[in-house]
Amino acid sequence: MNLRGTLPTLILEALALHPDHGYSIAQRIKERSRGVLDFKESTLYPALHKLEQEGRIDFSEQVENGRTRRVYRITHAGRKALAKDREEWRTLSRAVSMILKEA
Amino acid sequence: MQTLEQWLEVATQGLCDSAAARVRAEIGEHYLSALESANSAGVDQRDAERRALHALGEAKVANRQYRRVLLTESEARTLSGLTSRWPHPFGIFLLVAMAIGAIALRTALFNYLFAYFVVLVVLRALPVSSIRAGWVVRIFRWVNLTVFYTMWLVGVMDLGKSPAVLLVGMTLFNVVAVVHTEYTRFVLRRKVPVEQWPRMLWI
Repeated sequence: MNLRGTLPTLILEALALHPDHGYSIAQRIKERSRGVLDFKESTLYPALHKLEQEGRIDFSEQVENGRTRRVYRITHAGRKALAKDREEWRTLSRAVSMILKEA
Repeated sequence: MQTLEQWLEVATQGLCDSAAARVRAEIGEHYLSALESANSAGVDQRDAERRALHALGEAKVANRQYRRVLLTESEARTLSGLTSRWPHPFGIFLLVAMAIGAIALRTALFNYLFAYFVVLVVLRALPVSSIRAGWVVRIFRWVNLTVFYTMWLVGVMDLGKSPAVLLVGMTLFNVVAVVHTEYTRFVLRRKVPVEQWPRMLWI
């Protein structure tokens, strides 16, 4: 399914649970949607860069098994943006559901 | 079969060195995590590599997306040039050319143009054009530009008795300069996080 425009929100949602690294974020989004939301994993990183530039996430580098991993975490601004996105999504979803029920 | 190195070569094309290094590090780490995960699920190494690359998607598409959020080589060059208080080498060349022209030709037009460039260079060196500039400073900057573009046009019109095509050309040049400056600021603001903005960005 096409994720255009919703990937940043899904990333924020994944990070709202706990800080995580890129690969794990991608897998969690796929798993939580039971494979419905599938996307090319390289698209995750431009979205992470953009969220970082907007101040919605930040990161720290951690060494695990001799490898340096960038662990991302949601910021206060990110939580506010996520709450707004959730509300907008619920409104949109309710509206579309009402129309589809009518059809 | 495409290798990770070939994939990265395409995905980082045109990005500045620091951006390319960051992409290489994060995609390299992502790829290794994918291999680990596949290996622990019992997938053989060759198949795991193929799957990890396939999951990344097309390198060209990734390159397009990276270019939207990371600095390209030319933008990094622009940023580096704009953080200097000294004019661009082309500006210095123009200044020297005007000085030589003014001395050699001794015409009012060349004297005027030379004075114009000197004032422009001096104004550029004043600390009023930071990317962090507030509205008052920005308005001051645009008033400055407008005054000097007008001076340029008046000078060319009055002293040079120039043909219409030159006047139209100069007007277009001024419009392009304004649009280019605003676009550069927009791109840099969008791509460089606020806390990483240079203390002074002379545009």
